[in-house]
Amino acid sequence: MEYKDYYKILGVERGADADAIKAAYRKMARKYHPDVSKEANAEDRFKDLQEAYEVLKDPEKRAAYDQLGSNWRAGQDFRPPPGWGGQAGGFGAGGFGGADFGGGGFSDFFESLFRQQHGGAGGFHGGGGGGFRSQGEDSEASIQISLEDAAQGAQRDINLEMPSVGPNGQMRREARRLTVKIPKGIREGQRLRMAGQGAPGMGGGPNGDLYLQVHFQPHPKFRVEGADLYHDLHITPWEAVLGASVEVPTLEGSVRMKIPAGSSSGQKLRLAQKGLPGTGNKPAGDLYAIIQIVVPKHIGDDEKALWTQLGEISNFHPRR
Amino acid sequence: MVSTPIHVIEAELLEDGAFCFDLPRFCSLLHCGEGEAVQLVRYGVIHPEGSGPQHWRFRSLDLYRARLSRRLARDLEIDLAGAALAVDLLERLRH
Repeated sequence: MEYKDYYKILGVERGADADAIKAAYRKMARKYHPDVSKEANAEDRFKDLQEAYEVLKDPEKRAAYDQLGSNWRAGQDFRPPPGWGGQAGGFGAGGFGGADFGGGGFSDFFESLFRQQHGGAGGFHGGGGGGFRSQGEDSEASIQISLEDAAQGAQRDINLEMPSVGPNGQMRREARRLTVKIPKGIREGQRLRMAGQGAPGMGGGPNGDLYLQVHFQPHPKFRVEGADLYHDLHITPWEAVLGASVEVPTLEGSVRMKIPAGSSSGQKLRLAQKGLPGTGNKPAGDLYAIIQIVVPKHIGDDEKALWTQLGEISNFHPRR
Repeated sequence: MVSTPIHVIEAELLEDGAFCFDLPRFCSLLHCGEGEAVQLVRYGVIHPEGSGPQHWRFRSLDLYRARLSRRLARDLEIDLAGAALAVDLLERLRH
């Protein structure tokens, strides 16, 4: 496993006092908190920060960590020194409350140093002895689905990295794959709740819940606003002038739509209830075809002659 | 060949906008006591409809805001008033 330089992670000197450590954590936490940050790897950086703070804010843990010495470098291959478990036993069970556990699952490095402390917490795991029992934390994740999935409902696999309880009772993070049923008619940004699929409870406490926020993948043909869909409908100049019956795509296949004579670019034509389907007391959305008159970029001599003739005989003057 | 059955998780759709949870249901979803919910309302983290706890109705957005404020208060070591402000500002940034 890799050695972690907790001082470097928090950006403080090894001799920093408790106030300096607290201030550094709070400053860095604001920068990398996953709910706030747009930095790349914010979640991993924040987990490292939490782990470093968990150790350095606690005088006993910090003293134990400092005993490893200052010659280690971040990322260096690390094995706990012989007899380390005996020292760890002296930490006692205090200071590791359920509320501090947050998202759960610190690194192997942390676990190798402080596992004894977790294991010694009597009743913290397994429900015996001390009677400490706590609800697992709720987890948040997001999923991208296609518009077609939203319209028809679907089953989708999601891969998550979730906290779990290891064989020795320590928290760790592990990959989980869930198959979730996406209900028909779901909208962009809506949340699904999966009861009991969040972080595991402690001491026999119930698991937390998993909240999944749904986002739509960009669609090649439609934009979405609420339950309504928008489609740019390309038509020719003569279809715009003379009117036409054209094919318009919907989520259920193409339908024919009548373009009125004299249509202009930007005009909206509505196909009622051809947007996302309704759910509960919410009505189905509509599909709006936005007319875009497209002109040919390359024309032959015959076409050019006809366009020229049209220009000469037409009394249409939009700029007057 | 016997295939392993896939365990499909039924998900509860939380309706946007609708004030659909009463206080006991809200507390059960948030895994909190009524006292904590009252504090969240008092500090403006969540905004139920109705006058008084017995008549309060919450939206799924309130549930999200409450969970977010909890995470921020715990992880950034800020109080509920600070968390309420952060939740508001984050919401504005996202819209």
